[in-house]
Amino acid sequence: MALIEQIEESLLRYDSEELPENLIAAAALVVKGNIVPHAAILTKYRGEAHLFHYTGEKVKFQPIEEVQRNGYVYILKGVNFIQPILLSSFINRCRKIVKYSKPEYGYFYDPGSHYNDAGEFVSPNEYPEFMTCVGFCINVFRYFIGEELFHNHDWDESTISGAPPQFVEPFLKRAKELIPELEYEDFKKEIRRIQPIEYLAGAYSTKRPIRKSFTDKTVPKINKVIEKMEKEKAA
Amino acid sequence: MSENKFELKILKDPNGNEIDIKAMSLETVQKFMILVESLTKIVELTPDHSSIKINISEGSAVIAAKGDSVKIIYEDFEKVKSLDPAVRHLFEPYRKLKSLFSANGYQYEANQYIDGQVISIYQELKNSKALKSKRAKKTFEFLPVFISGELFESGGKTKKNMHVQPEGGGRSITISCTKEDSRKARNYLESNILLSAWVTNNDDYPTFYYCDAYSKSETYHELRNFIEEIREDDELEALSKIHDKSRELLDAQEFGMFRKFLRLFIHESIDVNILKELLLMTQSLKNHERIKDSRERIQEIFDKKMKAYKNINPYNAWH
Repeated sequence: MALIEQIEESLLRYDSEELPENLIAAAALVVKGNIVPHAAILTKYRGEAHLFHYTGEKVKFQPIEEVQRNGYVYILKGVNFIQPILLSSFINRCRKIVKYSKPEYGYFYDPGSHYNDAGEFVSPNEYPEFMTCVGFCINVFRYFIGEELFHNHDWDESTISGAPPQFVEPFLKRAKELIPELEYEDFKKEIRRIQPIEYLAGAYSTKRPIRKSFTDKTVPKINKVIEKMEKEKAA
Repeated sequence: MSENKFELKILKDPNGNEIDIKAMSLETVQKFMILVESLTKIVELTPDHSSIKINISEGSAVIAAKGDSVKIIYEDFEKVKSLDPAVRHLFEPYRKLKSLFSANGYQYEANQYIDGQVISIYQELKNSKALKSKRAKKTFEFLPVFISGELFESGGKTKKNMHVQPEGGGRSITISCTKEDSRKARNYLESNILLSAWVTNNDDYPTFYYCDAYSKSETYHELRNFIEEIREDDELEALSKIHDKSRELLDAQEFGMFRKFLRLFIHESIDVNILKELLLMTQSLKNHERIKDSRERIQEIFDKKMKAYKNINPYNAWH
């Protein structure tokens, strides 16, 4: 099956009747028809769905009804790296992370960093708990699957050029406060921005770690399908 | 009439006949009872309800709560719709109403009269996804059992077995085991043995497989109490307790006890989520000399089960 057909079949709205009873999915927020500003994880366990995400301020594991009430629309792709049969242990993890995580917003992902069994943040180089909404999802999945999800070095510092400056400046300032000068050059190497749409595209990769070459060619196809979905919904 | 009112009505029965409160069928009055109970409960749980009067009247079968404080019922209902924990005590009566409305046949109305306006909440309540009744809890079914009794025979020519007369009476239990286990158990012959076993039901007849024996009664009781507790728990709760117990033992560096704890779950019929939880807990102890063998065995069973699962659930458009 061609990739675009696969996307059409498996990219669903979070309120679709076709969603299975048990599911772990990469989720992305869609606004104004085609802007994808936020990434999340959707779990559906025995028919009850929750959205698990870092809003930039808080980590939330919230019932989907709350999301619906606020009018947000998410689209999803079931992940191929965690089988739904492992939902209860995955949700146990999510709950622990809600309790013990304290992320700060920043365009940073340090390979090997993750949330451990107790929900605590672990960074091999002991960097602060900086992440974006996408970084959060990666940190959640990383420990559970035991391998790198994205090939991080495909995304370098230049990828933050598209990020809103009102978020970038405070992050860089805060980083300078927290990181000793000697380590700052190394720290900068892990500054990166993986966009929510790239995260969603990555869920279509059958190989890990996910490469930017794959997401680069998949993102336009996903955008096409999203536009189509919006038109169909409006009709 | 500007009095605030919260009103529940049954208008018609499944045959389309209008309800007459003076002559209801048994089935109708049973439904009406649910309206009465739910409304009464809601009023009871509403602060400031002493001024609310309840009225049962004709024109279909109607029960209504009247009074200024009914406005609070309305405000609380808004919170109930979003499952606000502040009003969790109200979920149950509204769930009952939702259930009633969702069952087809009868025609109902549910109206709120507030400040001169009528608002029907019937459809909202009927279609509320949030208020769907909670499902029965899902527990882990396959867990070891604990047996205390007298060991009166151990061995066997081809199949190795132990025979235990459980304390408290009842028929003796035959427990399949390995040659090694059988040999070790001989130390307990004709004395009390404390052990754990897994049970499978083959043709409705339980078959016991030896898990572990305990020389210390405290160990036996601690593990037995733990398993009995999680046996009753919902899966998520049970996993959380397995996690916390493991953490407790590992933080205290009680590796001997932790090994005994792990042993309880080294069986092919143990749920993959328990195995995954234990593997995650012991990730950093992969090479720990006292843990690594147990961990490897858990990993083997986990991999085998996940492979079998993937074979039954092959790659599809979702994955």
